[in-house]
Amino acid sequence: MTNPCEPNILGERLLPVPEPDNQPFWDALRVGELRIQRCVDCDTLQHPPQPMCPRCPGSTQEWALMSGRGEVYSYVVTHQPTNPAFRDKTPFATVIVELAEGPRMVSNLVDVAPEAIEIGMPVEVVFHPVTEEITLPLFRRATSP
Amino acid sequence: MNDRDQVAVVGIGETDYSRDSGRSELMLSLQAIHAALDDAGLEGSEVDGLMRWAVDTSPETAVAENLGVRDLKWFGEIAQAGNVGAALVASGSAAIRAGLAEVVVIYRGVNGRSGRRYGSGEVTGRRGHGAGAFSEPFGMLTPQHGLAMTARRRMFETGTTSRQFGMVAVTERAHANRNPRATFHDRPLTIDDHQESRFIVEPFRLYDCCLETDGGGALVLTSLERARSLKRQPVVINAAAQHAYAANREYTDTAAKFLGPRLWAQAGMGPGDMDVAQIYDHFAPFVIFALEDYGFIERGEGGPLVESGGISWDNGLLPVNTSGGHLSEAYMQGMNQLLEGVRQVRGTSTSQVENVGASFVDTGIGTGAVIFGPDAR
Repeated sequence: MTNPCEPNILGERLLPVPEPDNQPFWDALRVGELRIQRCVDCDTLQHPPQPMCPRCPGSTQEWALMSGRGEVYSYVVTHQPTNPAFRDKTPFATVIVELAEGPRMVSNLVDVAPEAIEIGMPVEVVFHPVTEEITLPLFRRATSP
Repeated sequence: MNDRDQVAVVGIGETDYSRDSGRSELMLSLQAIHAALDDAGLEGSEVDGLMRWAVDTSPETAVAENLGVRDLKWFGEIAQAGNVGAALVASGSAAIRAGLAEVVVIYRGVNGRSGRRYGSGEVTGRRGHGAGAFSEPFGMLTPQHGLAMTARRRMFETGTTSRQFGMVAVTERAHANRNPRATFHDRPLTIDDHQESRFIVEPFRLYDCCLETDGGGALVLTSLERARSLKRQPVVINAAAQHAYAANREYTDTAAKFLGPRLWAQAGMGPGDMDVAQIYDHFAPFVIFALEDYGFIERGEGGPLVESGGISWDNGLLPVNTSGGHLSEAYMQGMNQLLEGVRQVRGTSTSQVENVGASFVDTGIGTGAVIFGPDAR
């Protein structure tokens, strides 16, 4: 089991702190949805969330439901932890997943050993509750084509 | 640009580099500044401009007080991280050209090993706020993680190898072995040492990573006109520019891709005109990526260049990091590389390149760069 995000190791310092510009992202995760910010004028998807669409300043943004499918775009394996929260978890991998819809996000893979990770590997989202407020979007090897 | 508008470096100074200075960061800053002023033949009271890295802890007022500055007319710090050396040179030069100050000192003093350590995320961490909310919970905690992520993808796209990264480190170590100031002056490094070294954040191995250093450095700038009356041969700033953000950039493009064309235009020169280069080597792979993105060589060809000895001081196509750089001299985040860039024009490097007409210094993989040259007069 490779999962650096087990609740017991996430100290307060490393929990995400939701802010007004991104609160809907965290709210969606809590109910089992991966939603990414989308500009209603130009349909551009943006992650991490920002106050404005750079193409259409002043436009409204909505929160588009993603398929949760994607592939590994890049990855690193931490061997020497720089934070106490990860000290007994090394080596662990951090990945960038490119979602099928385009945006890329930083995450971890569950049930995949670091040495088995490859760029291009198909993955799908799993929702990982950490606290009552925070659910993290993690990914696993895709189970269907 | 006529002589009246040109700005020159007239003094350089540094402290010893160590793992535990036993001194305050303010003391390190002041010792470096005094060394630079001595080098220039100027008194502290003649300084009227002070500029610094915003991440540092020694305020301009405290420095001015200790130097006996009479009237501090121009001061400021530039924020981001360690990568602002060239931006400070650009801003200091602009102030001199605009008549806002006459003698500007750019300084730093850091206990980067015994005090606040960059690699721990202490200085740069966001503690789960802002953009940190989308990376830190997944173990992406320090600049190293983001850079390793870029390097991994770029290896995939260009075929650059860990062994080629290693040859950057080996070449720089050979330069450090010739430099008595260098932290690793007495320690050779082989490619096998590199390839057998442990991973820190894979794909970065131990010897891909920069040092952590206590020390200080300083540069003294003034107009070329005034510089000609001082004791040292002036080193002219032919270009100095900075860059922070470009919309819609490709993930693996470094900032050098955006700064490069603007820098070359400002200097009226191109990559082929550079005789020697100092490149911000927080991590060895980024020397290769910067060489490619500045246009010194095609994308994907940087690794083979390094492997064939192309960045070595004595016979390389473009000698790089001739003092040993951040990997083997000291991690002064651009400062020691600015000093080495000046030395190459003066002819005082321990790995001196012959007849240097253009000395290139990148202080952050495209987030800032300077081109130094001799006084054309």
